[in-house]
Amino acid sequence: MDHADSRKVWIALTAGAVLAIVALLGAWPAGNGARAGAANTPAANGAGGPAHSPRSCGTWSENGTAAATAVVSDRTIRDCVLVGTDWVMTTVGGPTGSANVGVLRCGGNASCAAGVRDPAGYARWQWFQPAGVTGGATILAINGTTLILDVGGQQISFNPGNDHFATETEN
Amino acid sequence: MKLRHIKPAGHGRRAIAITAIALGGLWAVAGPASLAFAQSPKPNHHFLDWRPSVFNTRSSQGVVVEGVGSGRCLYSFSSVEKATLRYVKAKKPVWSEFSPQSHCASLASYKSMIHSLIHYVESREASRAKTYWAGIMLDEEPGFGFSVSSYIALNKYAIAQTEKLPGLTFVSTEDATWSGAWTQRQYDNIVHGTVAAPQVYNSYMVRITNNSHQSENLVTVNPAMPAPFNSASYVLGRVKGSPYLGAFGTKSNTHWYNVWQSQ
Repeated sequence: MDHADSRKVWIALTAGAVLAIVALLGAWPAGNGARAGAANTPAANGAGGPAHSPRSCGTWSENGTAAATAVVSDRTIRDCVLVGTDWVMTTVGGPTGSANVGVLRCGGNASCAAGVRDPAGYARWQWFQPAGVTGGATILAINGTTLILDVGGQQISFNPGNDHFATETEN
Repeated sequence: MKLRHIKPAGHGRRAIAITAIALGGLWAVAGPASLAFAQSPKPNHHFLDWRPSVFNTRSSQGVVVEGVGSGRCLYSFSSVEKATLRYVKAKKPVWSEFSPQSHCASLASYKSMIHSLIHYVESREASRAKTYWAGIMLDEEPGFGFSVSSYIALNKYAIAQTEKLPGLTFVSTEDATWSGAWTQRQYDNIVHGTVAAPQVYNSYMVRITNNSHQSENLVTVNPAMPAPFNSASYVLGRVKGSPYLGAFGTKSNTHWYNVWQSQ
């Protein structure tokens, strides 16, 4: 391959690289972010969002982070959600006898309830488990301020306002 | 110079140049995600959870009637039946969901519920059901008190019940697992033959989903999870394969994902 040919190849490769950079700066965000993430989300489709759009727990609740490990080090965080002004976290996969429903009460502290910063800086986690029931907890649904949980194969409602577990059988 | 040792013919050099431009062009058009994992084509419609007592046709393109455990637990089976039928009559794409838990009902009872629900809907609105009733969604998890083999049996039963129906009505599995719970193989065996609707709430479930060999996934996202997993676009960009496909009475095929919500 002579010098001229090499040059042609490098020009072609450079052109490809330039197109790729254009993609990185422009096409990708429009394709991956805006369409699926915004235009089709309930809030963005012009039809109104979910009745109680849940506030995302911050990265402090992500399994493996230092903040999350400080909250639970021996089990997996399954769910995390703000209910009223209380953060509620459920866990699975822990030792037998673990309490798997965590509540952190923000009260009137808006910064705590915002969820951006680790709320453990404002209040402490309290852990609960329904009496006589062992096993991990999963949030199945939320009805107002009442959570419908599965705890160890049992469907149990939980009111974080008063830490009360109940078995409900009627809609 | 190393390039001097490559001696392609004249047309070979041209091919290299064209290939380089084509690769760059592909990247430019489809984005880097096309070279990594991403749902393709990109889902453009979503289902949204509502409890049976809520009738909402405006917040999303499709609906999931969230029956949770039913049986001895919330919500009543009849409320799931009625809500499903109401959406079908309204020509709204709808899944009917249960979260089978051993303390709510036996495996036989869940099979009976599936059978009864099919009869209820098909006997009242068969014509619209074949177009708008997506089918039965089962939320199955390691902690719910049923064994892997029980869930496999339940899913096989549901598949057998729905595959003979006309139209698109079928079975989806909105399943999740975590470290120390179901293995990849167990997850694969449970969702096999269904429309998998994995709860992709963390990196662990991204791996499970991408290794599951399901050609199609109805990815379930949860806006309450910590960022970036609260973002549908992020989650859909990390899951490979095709999204769930369903026309639901439209003239063009639509591609779907599923959103869990606080109700």
